[in-house]
Amino acid sequence: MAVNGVAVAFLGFLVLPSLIVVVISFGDSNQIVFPPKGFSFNLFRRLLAEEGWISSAWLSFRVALAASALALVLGVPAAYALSRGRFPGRRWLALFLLSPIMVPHVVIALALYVYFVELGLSNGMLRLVLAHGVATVPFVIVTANAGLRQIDPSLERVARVMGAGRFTVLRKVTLPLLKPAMVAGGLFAFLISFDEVVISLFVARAGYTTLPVKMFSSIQFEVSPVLAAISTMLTALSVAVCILAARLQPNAST
Amino acid sequence: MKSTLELQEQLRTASFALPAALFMAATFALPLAAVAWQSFLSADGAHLSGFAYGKMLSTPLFFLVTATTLQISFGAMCFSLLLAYPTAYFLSRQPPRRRAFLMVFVLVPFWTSILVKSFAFTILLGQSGVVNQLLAAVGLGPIKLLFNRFGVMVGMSHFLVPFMIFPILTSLLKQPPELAKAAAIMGAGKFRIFWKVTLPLSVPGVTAGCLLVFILSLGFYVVPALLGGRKDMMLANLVDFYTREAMVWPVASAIAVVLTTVAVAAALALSRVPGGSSLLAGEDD
Amino acid sequence: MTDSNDGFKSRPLSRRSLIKAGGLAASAVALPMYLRPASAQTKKLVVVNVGGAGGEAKRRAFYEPFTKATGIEIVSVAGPDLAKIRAQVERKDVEWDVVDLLDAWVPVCTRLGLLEPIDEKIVNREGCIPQARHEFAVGGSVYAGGIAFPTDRFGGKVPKTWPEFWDVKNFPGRRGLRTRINDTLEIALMADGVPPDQVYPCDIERAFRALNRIKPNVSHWIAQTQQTVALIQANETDFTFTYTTRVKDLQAARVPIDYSFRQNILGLGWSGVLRGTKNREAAMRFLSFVMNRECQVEHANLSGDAPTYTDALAKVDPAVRKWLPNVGSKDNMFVNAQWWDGRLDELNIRFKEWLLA
Repeated sequence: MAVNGVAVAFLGFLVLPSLIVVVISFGDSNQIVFPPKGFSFNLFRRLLAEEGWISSAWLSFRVALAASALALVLGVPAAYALSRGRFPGRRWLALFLLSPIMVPHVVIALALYVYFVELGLSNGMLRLVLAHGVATVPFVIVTANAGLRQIDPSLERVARVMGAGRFTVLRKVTLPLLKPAMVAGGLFAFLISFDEVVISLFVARAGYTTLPVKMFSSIQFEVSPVLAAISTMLTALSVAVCILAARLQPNAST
Repeated sequence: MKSTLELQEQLRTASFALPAALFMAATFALPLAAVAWQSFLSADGAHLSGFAYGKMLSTPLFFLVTATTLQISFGAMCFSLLLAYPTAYFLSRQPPRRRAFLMVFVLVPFWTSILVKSFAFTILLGQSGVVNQLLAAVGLGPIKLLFNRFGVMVGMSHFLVPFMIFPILTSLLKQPPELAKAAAIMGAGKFRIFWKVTLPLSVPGVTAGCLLVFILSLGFYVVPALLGGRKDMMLANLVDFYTREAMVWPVASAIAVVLTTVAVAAALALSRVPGGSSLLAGEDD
Repeated sequence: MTDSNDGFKSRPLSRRSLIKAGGLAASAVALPMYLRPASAQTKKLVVVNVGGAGGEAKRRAFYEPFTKATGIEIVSVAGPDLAKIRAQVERKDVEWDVVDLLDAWVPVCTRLGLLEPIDEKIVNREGCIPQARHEFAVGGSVYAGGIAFPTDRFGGKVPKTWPEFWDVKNFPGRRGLRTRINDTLEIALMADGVPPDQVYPCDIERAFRALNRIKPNVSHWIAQTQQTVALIQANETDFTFTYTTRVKDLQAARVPIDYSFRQNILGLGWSGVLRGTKNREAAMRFLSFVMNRECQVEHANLSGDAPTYTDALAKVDPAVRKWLPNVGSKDNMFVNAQWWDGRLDELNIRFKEWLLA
């Protein structure tokens, strides 16, 4: 079928550049060269030997974890209010809560950068998590909102008629049904936070260099071929996560 | 009596959004208001002035770059949609486990640094790249695929396509398969079913994806700089220049205000499109 | 026209109060215990460098010997940023002690008062080249930019000077220039016949006339330095402006590429101490290591950038030495950042408009 052909070709187009980078990362020349003239782990050795790559990756991981937790804690209840409530001003509230998506990251970066300094907020971790929270909450709201709209409100109504309190309904009915959407929203938030560069570049303090920022600054002034090795490692990691996710899926066909 | 109870109930529901609203007010609205305020200051920041906007209006550069930014963002949106829809459709027809596995393909581009990726694109699409060599083998080409607007579209959609695929996929998966089956029983052909049933029902996903991609594109500048030609210049590039090099922050703020206004206008315009309203509020389409 | 650049001496009071008004709301988010912790760390120095291999060379050549000699730990941060320097100093929130500076930043930082004056009692830079001497910064290395070309095409008939780069008849091939006006303006003047040591003060109109001539033959306007050599390697373009270190590394990787040492643009790797740092003395001691001959030689060996003492050249590894620019030659020119200060904004707008036309 034609659509399948197009789709498969397109999926190929998506991974091809990353595959080339994987090949480059195993080259023996310590530079970005294609095709590589020999095979070696040089760049991976440099990745481990050079200061900061691993600690930056670890920092990014922790920030992304905290930011997606924050985004879930704030975003899911907000999505509940927006999808179940019929209060006046709901549309404006929605527009307000989703507006960080609409503002380009350079702008948020510039704004938060000056703001944090004015406030004297000097905790490096907190700065990054709050800033990433701004960027990720809207994505959780959108995803959770979509999930809530798929849950039939009459289920909740029935539970309340049967005498269950509001929080019991939430805990026993709504949240369990919302789990897939929350997982998706959390994952989205994690990805965005882990990949975020412009905001982090501005708000980060000394000693809080996230991986994307380290990668970005290493292309701004000079290029580090270690980038190829880092990209390969991240790709391998994401492939592993996706395979794991696939294994957790029920194998039923739609 | 009943209406008071109803109101109380509504307020209680609304209060669930309070933490998020407070958070956004403190860490987003306020700093952003400061940016907007700064755009109305003089060069030395000492007093109110129309200096920044005056500067923007006084040279053709800002108009040209705004136009380019809109063109590129719109193009990237269309390009991503063109690529994402068949892919999402294909993925929606796969069993869940295989679909989860195929997601690897959609997510992998996320993890490869754009700089090394731009080198990979040169190897694939450059003048002596793989594609042009294949074309030459069959007596065609060479075609200029990079370092022009087309290259920008390729590079941007490569990054943005997950933001288009996910909403479309969600809206396709939401459609009960019985619908298509019923249409088939009624004698509709495959194409007709797609055109009359599947496509219209996926419009909300398409709208959401388009909005996300368009707005995210507005803030791009590294990809156009790496894969575009000399005319592919973005507003975000100028924000960066005035923030970090020239350090004329009122001008940077003024450009930021323009960018934001464009993005909000796009969001409001799209919320009038069928299905778009679901994006701004939880109401059903 | 310069008033667009020299702002920010006093910050807008009203914006500040607007932000302060939000402090209450913000403290709901940011717990007060995180606000301004008393940092009494004196055994640590925060040094900002460009990261990557360059940062690695600095670590081995300067940071490690410094820590060994003084016991002061160096926390290195990748990514110096002019805007962040300014914000830190002006808001009295200095967390960076020593920062590596680009040529263009030195006059800007001086004008805005962002740097501590160099303490000559601590920093001995006797005998360094005069260009590396500044009241507020020290120049610890010299880098060079010039023409790169492929060695597997054209049979050696490649441009080696800027007039030859402009001469498309005798040296056919695709050209690559940068998307920024600084460096490009100087290149255009040399191409038009201005001797390198007479480029400043730049004749702007003459430079743009020269740029008009080469424009149709420029196949790529390059935004990132990496692309200058990557595009030659991928056979996308033939002759570009790039830096010695790029070509040196690629040659080591057996890529057929070479570099012309004629009419090079030289720049300095500066370091400065942010005004208001709590570790001024330790920072100055660190700068004395940046201006130490042995450290600079080690840095040259690792990075491929030249030392700023001509008498230290002889100690550099001969394999590296042949890649170092001739600092004293009249055929090369140093960037004059002072000339650019206050002109960058307007010339950038003009150049970008010219690119779009």
